[in-house]
Amino acid sequence: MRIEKLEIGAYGCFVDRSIPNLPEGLVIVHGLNETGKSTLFSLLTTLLYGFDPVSDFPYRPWHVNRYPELSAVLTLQDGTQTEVWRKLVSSPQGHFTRNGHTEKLANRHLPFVQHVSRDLYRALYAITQANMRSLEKMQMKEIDDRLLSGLGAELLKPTRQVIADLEKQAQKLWRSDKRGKPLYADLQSKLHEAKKDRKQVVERDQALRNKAERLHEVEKRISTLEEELAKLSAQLRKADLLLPLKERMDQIEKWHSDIPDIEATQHLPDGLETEYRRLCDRAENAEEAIQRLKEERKTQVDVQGRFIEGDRFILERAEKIDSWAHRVTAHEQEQHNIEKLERDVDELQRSLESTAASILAEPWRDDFSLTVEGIVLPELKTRTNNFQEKEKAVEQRQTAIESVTPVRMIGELPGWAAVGAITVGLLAVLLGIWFSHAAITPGSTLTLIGITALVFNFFIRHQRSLLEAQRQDEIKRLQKQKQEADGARNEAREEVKEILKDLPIASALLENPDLFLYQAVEGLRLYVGERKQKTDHLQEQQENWKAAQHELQKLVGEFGEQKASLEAVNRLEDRLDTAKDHQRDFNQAANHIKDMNGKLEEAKKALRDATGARDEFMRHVTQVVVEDLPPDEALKRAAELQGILRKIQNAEEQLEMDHPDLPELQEEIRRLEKDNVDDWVLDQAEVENFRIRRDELQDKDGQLQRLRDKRTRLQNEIKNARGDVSVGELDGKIESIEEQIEDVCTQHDHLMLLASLLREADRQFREEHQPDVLKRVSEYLNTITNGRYIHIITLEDEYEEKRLSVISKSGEDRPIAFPLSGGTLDQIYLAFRLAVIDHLDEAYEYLPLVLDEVLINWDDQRFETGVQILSHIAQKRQVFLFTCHDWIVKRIQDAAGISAIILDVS
Amino acid sequence: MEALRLLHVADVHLDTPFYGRDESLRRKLRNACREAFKGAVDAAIERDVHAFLIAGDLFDNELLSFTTERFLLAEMCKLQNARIPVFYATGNHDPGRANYRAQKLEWPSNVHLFTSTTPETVPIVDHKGQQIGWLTAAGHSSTREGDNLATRYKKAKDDLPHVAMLHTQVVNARGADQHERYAPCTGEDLKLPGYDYWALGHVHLRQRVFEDLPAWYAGNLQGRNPKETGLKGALYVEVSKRGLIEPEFIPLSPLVWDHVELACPENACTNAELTTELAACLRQEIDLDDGREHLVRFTLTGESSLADEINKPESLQDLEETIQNETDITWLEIRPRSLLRPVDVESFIGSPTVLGKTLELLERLSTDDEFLDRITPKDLAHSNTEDVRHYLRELANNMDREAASLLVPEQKR
Repeated sequence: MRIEKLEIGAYGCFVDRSIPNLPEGLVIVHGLNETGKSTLFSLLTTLLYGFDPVSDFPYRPWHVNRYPELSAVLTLQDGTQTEVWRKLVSSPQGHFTRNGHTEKLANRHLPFVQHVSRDLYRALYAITQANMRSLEKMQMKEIDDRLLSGLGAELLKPTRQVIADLEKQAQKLWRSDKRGKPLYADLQSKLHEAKKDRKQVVERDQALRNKAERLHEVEKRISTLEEELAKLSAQLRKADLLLPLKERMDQIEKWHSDIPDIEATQHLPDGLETEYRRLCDRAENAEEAIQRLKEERKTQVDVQGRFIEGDRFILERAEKIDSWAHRVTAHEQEQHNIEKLERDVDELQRSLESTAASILAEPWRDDFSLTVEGIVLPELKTRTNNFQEKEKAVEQRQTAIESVTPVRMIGELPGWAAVGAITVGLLAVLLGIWFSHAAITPGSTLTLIGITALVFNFFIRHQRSLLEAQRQDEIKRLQKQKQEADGARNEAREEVKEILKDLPIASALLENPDLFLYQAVEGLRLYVGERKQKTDHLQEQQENWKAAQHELQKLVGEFGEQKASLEAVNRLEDRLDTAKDHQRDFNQAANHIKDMNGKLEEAKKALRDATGARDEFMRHVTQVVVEDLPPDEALKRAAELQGILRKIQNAEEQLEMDHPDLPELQEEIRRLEKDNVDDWVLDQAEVENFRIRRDELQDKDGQLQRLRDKRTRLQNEIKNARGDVSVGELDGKIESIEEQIEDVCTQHDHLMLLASLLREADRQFREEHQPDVLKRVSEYLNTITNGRYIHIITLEDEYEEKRLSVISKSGEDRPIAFPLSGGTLDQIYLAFRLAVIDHLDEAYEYLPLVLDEVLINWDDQRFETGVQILSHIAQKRQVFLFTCHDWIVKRIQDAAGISAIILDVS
Repeated sequence: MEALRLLHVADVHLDTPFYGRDESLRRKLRNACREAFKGAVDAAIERDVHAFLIAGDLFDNELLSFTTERFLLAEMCKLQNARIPVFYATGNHDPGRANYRAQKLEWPSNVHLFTSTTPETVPIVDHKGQQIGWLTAAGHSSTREGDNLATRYKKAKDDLPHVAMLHTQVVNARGADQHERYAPCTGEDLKLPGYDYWALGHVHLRQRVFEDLPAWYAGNLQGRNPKETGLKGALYVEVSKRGLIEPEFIPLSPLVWDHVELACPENACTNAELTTELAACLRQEIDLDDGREHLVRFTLTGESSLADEINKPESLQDLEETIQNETDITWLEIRPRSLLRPVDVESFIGSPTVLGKTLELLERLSTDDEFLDRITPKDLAHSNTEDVRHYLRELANNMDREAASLLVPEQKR
């Protein structure tokens, strides 16, 4: 790789600086101190690898406020060119061209330099006086590892690193020096704890077993004492319980013997005398009740006797009487109605006669009724109306005739006036003509007026005569009509007469039948009808009343009443009510008697029962006392026996209450009496001893209680001490930890073995496959030192640290350190570096090399040799040699065969 | 006459140490052991057996806790209340000599101990008091009974079913090599007396010892570690003079150990894929729907791109928890065994690399003692190992793949 040209936009001290036409080979960069040589090296590194660090980049333009920017044209090994551009804005930017395409770089290194890291490049490709000898260990290790891990393209991980990792892992597991906290130590600690716990658990279990044994002993002892206590209690029970019980039972037995018939006595009621009295009273009461009932029954019979035959008689007619009681008032009212009807009929008769008198020519007769009834009133009305119409028509004609008015016209003007007017007028005119024209006009006018008046009068007369003629014609016509109307009227009159022919109607009325006539006939008709109706009704009413009256009379006559009247009916009613009362009383008395008979039977039965119970009671008492005693004495004796029986019952009850297990106790006593077992008969002193001993055992501070407390305590201790963890579990835990320890140790040994193996392999490999670089170094060294030192090797010291050593011509190996001279050291390191970078770039791009005052300490001969070396190197790669010394520049330029360009950066 | 009904249990190992780095797991196993024993007692009562046979190792002598003693005696009392006699022959873990726990416990009256190495014959009677069989048994008197006790058993009686009981190691029985060689015997020794049934104990794998011999190991009631896999329980046996009905296995272990070994799936490139594959494998290998809780050790071998990740303890724990949650397994332990990234070791043999040199030296290590001594690390954790060389050579197994896995970066395969 060769940098053809550089374009520096802004970088450190450089601003808009162009460095074109950089040659391949050696480029001498000459400049005084602080003129930008370091900046230039940084620029080269940045060009190849990108900005680092990005933040606080130290080579931001110092004098201008611009972003660092640079670009370059590179020619690669294969002759292709690439243009590279980088700029540091808020983030780094960059691109490069490849095969005509632009590819983004951002801040990445160029792909052509990936075989050498930035750090390595800085460390190796920038050789200065200062860093000549002080390769940082990291780079040294890196170089060493990379160089010695394999050849060709096969790259393995650095063996040293792998070994270090293995040893580190191993140390985490186990350490012989007991330093740190390896897992083994932790497991040992856990194991120790687990064993301690196990011991405690074993002790705990043993303690529990011991406690359990003690508990067993205590329980045995308690059992023994409790047995003794039970036995004592049994004995004392006999003494305290059974004996008194026996005494009580004996007493009860004696009482039993005092009662002859205990069953009978049990059945005796309490309060014998009271009971006896009660029974006697009961019998007496029953008798009294019977007596009462009988008397009451007699009373009711008497009541029944009051209901007599007469009451029955009237009751049989009760319905009629009740009926007349309701009707009698209406009956009397009916009589009044009949009288009124009679009056109405009379009134109608009078009206009829009056109306008949207004139109008839004769007094009314009843036989006229038929005729009147036969008249068809609507026909009569029609005919009458017809006559009236005809009459009216005649009158109208007449009226019309009369109403033909004489002709009346406007009267004629007085003829004389007209003649006069004409005359005057003519005169006036003449006058006017003769004397004054003024009179002409009035005269003319007057003349005209007069003429007009004459004409008018003529007209009026003519008209009058015409009208008069017309009037006469009209009169004739109307007269004719009147005649016709007269004829019609006469016919209508005859029709009216025809209807009324059977009635002697007054002729004047017939001649001129009018509404009056019709209304009168109508009235007659009405009165006749009404009279007939009322007369019929009156007859009917009279007949009904007579019949009812007859009936009533008959009824009251049965009861001795003379007159059928309201009073008679009221009296009958009263008698009827009385009869009803009697009847009701009779019926009630019958019910009472029936009821009483029932009660009487009951009372008799009660009496029988009472006397029976009393007798039975006394028989019972007699049975109890056995002896034949008078009632009072027998009762007394029975009461005594009852008392005894109560005592027995009380005693037995008490016994049962006091001893719920009485049957068992009784059985026990019987058995003891029979067998005389276990000292049934007890001595009091013995009993007392038993009691003392029992109290001792029962004493809450006594031995038994203490043992019980101890038992409880032991039980609680056992319960509390049991714990969750068993020895087996802990053994499992211990086994598990031991297994882990075993694993850890095995794993440690495995790792260490592997590390040891790798180390040995690594060492052997180094020996067998000494890297090309060391050979190159040796070659370079041999050349640089003119054969004084021929070889450079790496050896490991006792700490397994790598160190470089040189082998002199004489075969002596000397570590590359003091007391080798500074110049020699420089040469060695230079050789080393040159060899390394040759080796690293082998098969890749040869990266530019920067040397800064590296020849400064060399003697002439070595200087010459060094220059030759540089020129040799420059054949393969571009070398930038920085110096501030003119003489170095000159000497290099004077060296044959070297073309160099001086880059003045002052 | 009705057949003799027996419940045969052995190797209960109450309070034995259980496997597990997790205290809760050990506690669970301990409780499971008790539950299993309780289940056996309940089964015996339910089936109204004529005898409850315990063929040794009922508990671990030194480890029997006070609480477990109480529990054990309470269960015996239950059998007593059900009028079931218990015949208990002691084993190497619960020997019968006077100073051992078996003799010291306050057994209820229905428990008959066989603590002597001399076989004793007792009648078996039913509830009515009628004898319906015989039992001959002997017990271990110490923890290291080396004699063949089976040869001391006399000929069986022929009037009634005659059962024998012994805690013994029948040589050639499956799993016998897993146990100490105490009271050893052979099949011939068991066949000779002609018993109708041999109730054996000591080997924890349930099995009929030989096809032509009515001798069974009941196996233990609850697996103690991942080597004791599968369901455990008791044997219900009906014995008559007409013959023996195939004993019925009564599963009693609440917890079941399983061990699955699997080459890590190569196609699993992510944790999620690996989880899915492993979970699927577990479901395939283990019947998780049998109503039991499963404790699984999962050994992963082979190569996987996830090897580095899996080998980290925290990642392993995450993987275990995830698979546990997905499969509903009660407890899961994943053990990577030589699980490494895929590396083409072959290609490095003879290569001019440190790895090539390492492989060469590994070859040498297996035969060159001097070399081995030279590279033996100065400080070994197992410094007291008798045969260091053997030990180191054991450690060097598979070290070639491991070295390659360490040296070759991940992208280089």
